[in-house]
Amino acid sequence: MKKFQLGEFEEIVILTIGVLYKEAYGVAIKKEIEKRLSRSVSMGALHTALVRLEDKEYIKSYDGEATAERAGRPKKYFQITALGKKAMEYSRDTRNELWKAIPNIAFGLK
Amino acid sequence: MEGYSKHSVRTEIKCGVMKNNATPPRMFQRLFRWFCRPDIRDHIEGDLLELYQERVKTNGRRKADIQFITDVLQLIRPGIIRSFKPHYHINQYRYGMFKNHLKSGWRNLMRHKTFTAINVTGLSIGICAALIIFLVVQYDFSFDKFEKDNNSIYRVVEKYTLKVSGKNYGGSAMPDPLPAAVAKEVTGLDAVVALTRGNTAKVSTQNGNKKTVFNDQEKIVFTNASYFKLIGYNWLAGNAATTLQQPYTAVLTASNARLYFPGLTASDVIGKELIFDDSVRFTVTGVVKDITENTVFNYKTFISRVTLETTSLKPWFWDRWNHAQQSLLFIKLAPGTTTANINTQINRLFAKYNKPNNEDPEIRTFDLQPLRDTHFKGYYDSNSSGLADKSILNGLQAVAVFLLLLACINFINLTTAQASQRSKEIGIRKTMGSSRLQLMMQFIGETFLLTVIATSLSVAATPFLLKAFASFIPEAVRFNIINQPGILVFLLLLVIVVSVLAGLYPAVILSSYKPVSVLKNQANADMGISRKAWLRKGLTVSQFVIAQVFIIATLLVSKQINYSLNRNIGMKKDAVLYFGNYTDTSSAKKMVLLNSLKAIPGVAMASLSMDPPSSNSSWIDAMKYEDNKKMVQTNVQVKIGDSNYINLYQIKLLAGNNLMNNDTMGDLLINETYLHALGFTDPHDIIGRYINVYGNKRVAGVVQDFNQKSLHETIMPLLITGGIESEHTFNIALQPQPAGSTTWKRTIDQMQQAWKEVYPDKDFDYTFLDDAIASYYTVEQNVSTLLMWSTGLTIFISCLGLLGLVIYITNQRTKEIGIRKVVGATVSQLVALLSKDFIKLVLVAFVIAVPFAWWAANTWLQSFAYRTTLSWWVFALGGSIMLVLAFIILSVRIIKAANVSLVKTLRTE
Repeated sequence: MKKFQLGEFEEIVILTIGVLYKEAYGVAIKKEIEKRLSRSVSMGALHTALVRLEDKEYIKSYDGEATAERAGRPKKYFQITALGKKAMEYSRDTRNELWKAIPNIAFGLK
Repeated sequence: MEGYSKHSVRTEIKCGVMKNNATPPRMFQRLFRWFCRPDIRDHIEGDLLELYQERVKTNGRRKADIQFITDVLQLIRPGIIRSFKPHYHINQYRYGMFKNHLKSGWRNLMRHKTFTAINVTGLSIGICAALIIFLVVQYDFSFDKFEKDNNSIYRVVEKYTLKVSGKNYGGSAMPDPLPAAVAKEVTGLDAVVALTRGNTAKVSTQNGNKKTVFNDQEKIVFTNASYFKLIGYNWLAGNAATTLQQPYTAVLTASNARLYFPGLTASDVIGKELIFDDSVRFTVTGVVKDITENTVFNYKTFISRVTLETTSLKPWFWDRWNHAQQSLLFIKLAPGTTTANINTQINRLFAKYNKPNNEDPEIRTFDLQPLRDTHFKGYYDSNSSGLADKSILNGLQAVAVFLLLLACINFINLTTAQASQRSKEIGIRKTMGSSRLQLMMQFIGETFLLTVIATSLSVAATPFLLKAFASFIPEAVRFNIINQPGILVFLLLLVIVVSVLAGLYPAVILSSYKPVSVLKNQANADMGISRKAWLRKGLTVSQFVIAQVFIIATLLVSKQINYSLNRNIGMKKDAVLYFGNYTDTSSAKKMVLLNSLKAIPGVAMASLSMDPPSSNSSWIDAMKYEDNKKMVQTNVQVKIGDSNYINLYQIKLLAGNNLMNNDTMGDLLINETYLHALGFTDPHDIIGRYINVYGNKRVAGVVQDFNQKSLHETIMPLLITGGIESEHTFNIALQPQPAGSTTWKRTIDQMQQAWKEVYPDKDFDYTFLDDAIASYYTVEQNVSTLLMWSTGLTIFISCLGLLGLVIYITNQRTKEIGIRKVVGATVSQLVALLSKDFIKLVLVAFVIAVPFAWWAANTWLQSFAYRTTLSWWVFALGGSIMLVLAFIILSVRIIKAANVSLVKTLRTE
């Protein structure tokens, strides 16, 4: 049943990684989510999600360049893996199915 | 943090890039680096910094800082925090490293024997002092804990407030009718126990025709059955309930029963007779077990108090409420009664029987003192001997803490100074996978080893030290490690505290070495100027501050004692002795003895008086002076003496005439202080006027002020008058004794003969006035001796530390010394060069110590009414002593180093 595990926030993060494509590193992801979803994202929450996604091998990372603002610390860029893509699709499909299964009357009564 | 050295090296290198950027709160950045997983640390930190820089630009520095801190704190989550497990055990044998640490620790101690010896000596001294002082303090605080409900037992005490001056003093003696009245009229008490302390007596026993005499028997007390119940005595013979109800009955402790009736069992002693002072017979009706616990109730012979009430032994003051002399009153509160309640009741009771009166010189109020405080000298027992002094105990504890602290400082200094020698070991250990914590445990463990060695030495030395210091330490203090589990616990705590105190800082320093720089031999590049050197200097300075304060304090205390003993107190005090028969109130025998004393060729002068001019006893009463202009009421001390009194003591007569020989109170002599108190300046003006001293008496003369008591007390108004009935002290001025001869001894023997002819039953017991005056300052003498020891030890430990440091420095700079010698430096130049830094430290310590020492000495001197000056030369002398000592140690060691053959020094690496 639980073939792919993807939490709500994790899903947002991995989707944003997809949106940013080659530019997906910590600060960029944070800003993108904040911009698109108008919600604030703490560093703690974001990096925990990134760590989990990487642990589940839904995303992979490579070191990027270091800049002066970062005091020489390298950027770490993230990329969606094939498994990650499957997980995303699975998540979207299950939702779609659930959407479809809702009888129209359920909303009509509102 | 530096434990993960690979990363930190990188951080420091790249920090240069940040020059133009604002830096986030360092502490939180470090916190983050500390808790974050190393594999993701750098890029998250990068993210944090990038955001921070951006926020500084948009939101300003303050906001950015706060947001940075929030971010860091929010990152403390399970996925981000690193694992704190240092390593995994490869094998199951857990004690391998422990064994290794122990071995390398031991080898290290053995390799540096000098340093080990210095450290062990210092620590042993500190621990010995702490241990002995612990024993004393524990002993003094262990008194009277064994009585049932001892927290509800109180002693009734009294406070006297002088009406004229408002000065007050306390006393523990109670009016003799008070206990009976309290027992009858005060409610809420479980027990009322009166103890009337008896004088020293001659006790004898009669067995057939054989009479055995025991002279100077002490610890005699008059009491009743309730006393034994309150304290909880065990009865060996006799009836506890009906004991001491009849006059002339006595109870003995087992030890006294054995003394008086050797070979008899407790029940055989019942019914035997004791004869007191050859006149009064008491029947023994009970024997109780001696109390083995520490207690203030150390009496040995108990006589029924009813004897004093109903027989001819009744003292003259027995029924007087305004007289308090020998009785103590202990009460036990019933559950639920408050001390305030009892206090009010007793004060009301006293006012009922002793109506307050305008003639009374003082206001008397009663108070309750908890039993646990009665062992300590205090407000209510300021003159009693044999009591513990809390201020001395506190002083002792401070000394112990200081000595321990000094020893720990030594240890820290020497270990950090030597740290570089172990840097390679640390580098290798770290490379091989030791965690920082493990290394710290290793070094603290080494300190522990050393402390245990020092403690064992101290434990071994303590019994001898207890003997050596027997005159300071209460007799009953025992050191028995097996029977006193408290000591074991204390020692264990002491070892742990000392190990951590001395070992923690060196462990932190040692374990912080970075393997890379250590193995590249760069670890010590900055040793000379680093924080560590500053800390070491700071510690050395604080050591010398302590030693310096002790030196100056010792000098000042000795100066004050010297001053107290040698100050001109207005009377002749050498070659004067006195003795007396305090029970003879008739005049005939006294006159006979006085005349035969005067006939002895070695006696220069003899005089009869109530007491010597300088004495602890005091007869003070309010006297009224009246002339047509004014009325002055003053508290005046009264001295009784014959016409030779002021001549013998060479008290100077300023105006008027000496006293005539009077059998009753006749003319008066007054002192200058009284003269001034009465509003006169010229002594001639008062001659012939009258003062109301139990009836109007004429002032015959004015004498110069002299100190009636110790220099703690100011000179108070005084009058001297006659009255043979109260004169029971024979004052004798001896002819000067040629040096080396024994004429005084012969004279004293002759006086004893004369005494025995008049009073065959009384012992001849004399005191030299200068000894009596010296005995006012026994507390100060003890303080002084104690200070000398503490000073000696603090100097010793500090100098050990200095020695250790200079040995280290000379070793470090062996090659430099060699090269300097090659290019022509003399030994004295080398000494100057190397000792300069240390001398500076000693000087800094002196500057810091002076205000402390000045303050402490000044506070202490406030207890004296007449005190020595805090002369500058005392401080200068104290400073010089320290400086000279330090310089001797430094130069001896440096000269030794400078004289090592050049070939040897230049070859050292």
